[in-house]
Order: sequence, then C-alpha cells, then structure tokens
Amino acid sequence: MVTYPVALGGEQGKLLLLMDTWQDRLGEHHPERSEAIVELRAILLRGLKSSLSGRHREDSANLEDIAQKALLKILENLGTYQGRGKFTSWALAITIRVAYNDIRARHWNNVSLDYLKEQAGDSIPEESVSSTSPDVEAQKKDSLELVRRMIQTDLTTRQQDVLLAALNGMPQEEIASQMGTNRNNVYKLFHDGRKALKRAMEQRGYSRDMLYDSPDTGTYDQTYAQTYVEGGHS
Amino acid sequence: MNVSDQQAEIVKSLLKITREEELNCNELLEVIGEYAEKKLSGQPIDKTLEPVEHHLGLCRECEEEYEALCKALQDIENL
Ligand SMILES: [Zn+2]
Repeated sequence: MVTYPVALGGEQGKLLLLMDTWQDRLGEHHPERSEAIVELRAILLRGLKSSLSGRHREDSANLEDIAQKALLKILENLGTYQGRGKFTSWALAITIRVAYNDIRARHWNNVSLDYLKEQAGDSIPEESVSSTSPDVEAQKKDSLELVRRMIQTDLTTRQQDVLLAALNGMPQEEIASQMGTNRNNVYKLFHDGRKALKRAMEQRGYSRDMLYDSPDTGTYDQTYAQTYVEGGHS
Repeated sequence: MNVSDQQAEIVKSLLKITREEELNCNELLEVIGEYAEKKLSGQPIDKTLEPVEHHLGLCRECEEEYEALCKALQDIENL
C-alpha cells in the first residue's frame, strides 16, 4: 500500500499533499480521492458542455451520464497517462471520445454495413464540369478506373468493407461493432488496405505524380468531411 | 460494389498521404491533449507530435474529437 504524506501529519503533510498530482489524488488509497473525483467530474462536465454545443448539443442528463462513463474509464486507465500535456487535457480527450462514440452510435443505429455496400457510390453526384485538357481527363479517368479495379482485386473482403463503409461516412466504432471488432482493428484494416492499394498501383507503373494528380488536400478534406456529415443514409 | 468517381478520387487522396507507420486512434488519444495545448497556445509542433497532425488529416473521427477538445480546453482556460 502507498503511504501518503498525510501520515506525516501537521504542516509538512499538508504541504506535501498540495504537491500531489491528479494521478496521485485519484489513486485508490489517497485521502483526497473523493474530493479529486468531484473536482474532475465538474471539469469534465464543463468541458462537455462547451465542446458539445451547436449541432451536437445534449441534454444535461445525458451529459451527466457521459461524464460518469468517462470518469470510470479515466480511473481505469489512470496508469496509462504518460504526462504528455496536462492531466485534465488527457481526461477531456477521453471524455470527448466517450461522448462522440455515444452520439455516433445513436446516429448510425439503423444503418447496416450491407446496406451501405449496396448504396456505395450512389449518393454522390459525379463531377461533370472540368477545365482540364482531354489528355489529362483521360489519364485521370484511367487512374480512377484502376483504383476501382485494385479495390476489387488487391483488398481482402474485410479491407473492402471498411473502406466502403468509411467512404460512405460510417464512423469506425460503428463499423467495428458491426464487424465484431474494435476501432483499433478497423483503423488497421483501413491502413493495411491503403498500403496494399498504394503498392498495387505503384507496381502497375503508376508513378507518384500520375497516381496522385488528385485534388489538393483542401478538396479532399471538403468532400470527405461532407460525405461524413451527410452520411449515406439520410 | 459501386465506387463513384468522387469516392475513387478520395481514395487516391488518401493514398497520397498514406505512410508505412501511422498512429492509430488509441495512440493518438495519449498525445492529443499535448498537441491541442500547443496548437492553442501557438507553440511549434515538434517532431514527436507531427504524426498527430498526419493522423488528423486521415481520420475524420479523431479530427472531429480534436475540434471538440479545443473548444473544451479554451473554455476551461477561460474559467
Ligand atoms: Zn483516428
């Protein structure tokens, strides 16, 4: 059992307690643990209120539930805090993830992966206006065709599922729960799939420049984000 | 399976920034607090945090959570 400075008694003990970190104070045997939990919960709630204003506004009962769920997770994972940034920033990051997992799960509640696979690509209008030359257009068309073919031939079924679901805006937690796995594994499938496609395209003679003549990052962010916000099922 | 031109373009954009080694979403959670603090206070992002920036460019969920974290940190800072 850890011996806490309060055992020293008197002014020396009080002074040492003041120097304790959040991690110390939240530790199982710390004399101020209950106070620390109350303080931290108040910070998490406040953070939730400001981060979930706007389109993700939640009622206060929900916020209390999320804060409680997050608090348990933080206490369970206390030992994993590496001191990178303030403890409260780390705790808030966990809390926000808990909150968004909840919100996303409710939003995607009735959408199945199979449905998304059938819908894939249908909900997004094709680009029709182009200011580039016919040669560049033809090359671009070829590269898009190649991407489609490689998705079919060079990805495993699970990698295809993750990619298609992600392209249709399904969040990773939802993909994970429908595939019976977790967000980390979904990210790994997404990452391994991208690496396989990249290798496959380069092996087929597509140089970096030819392959990556795609829109700049701004456009990518915009279209990807738009797909995400609109989802594939509204 | 049906992938539209626009989705194939997105895949190409993703391939452009795909790396052999990337942080996953859980690894990001361990350092996103530090990254957000530095960004909010205008401090430079050092080499150890660069993979965070890269992950945020690839992962919509982490990007969305990061934006929310920044709002929360700003509010708490202003207490
Ligand atoms: Zn992520």
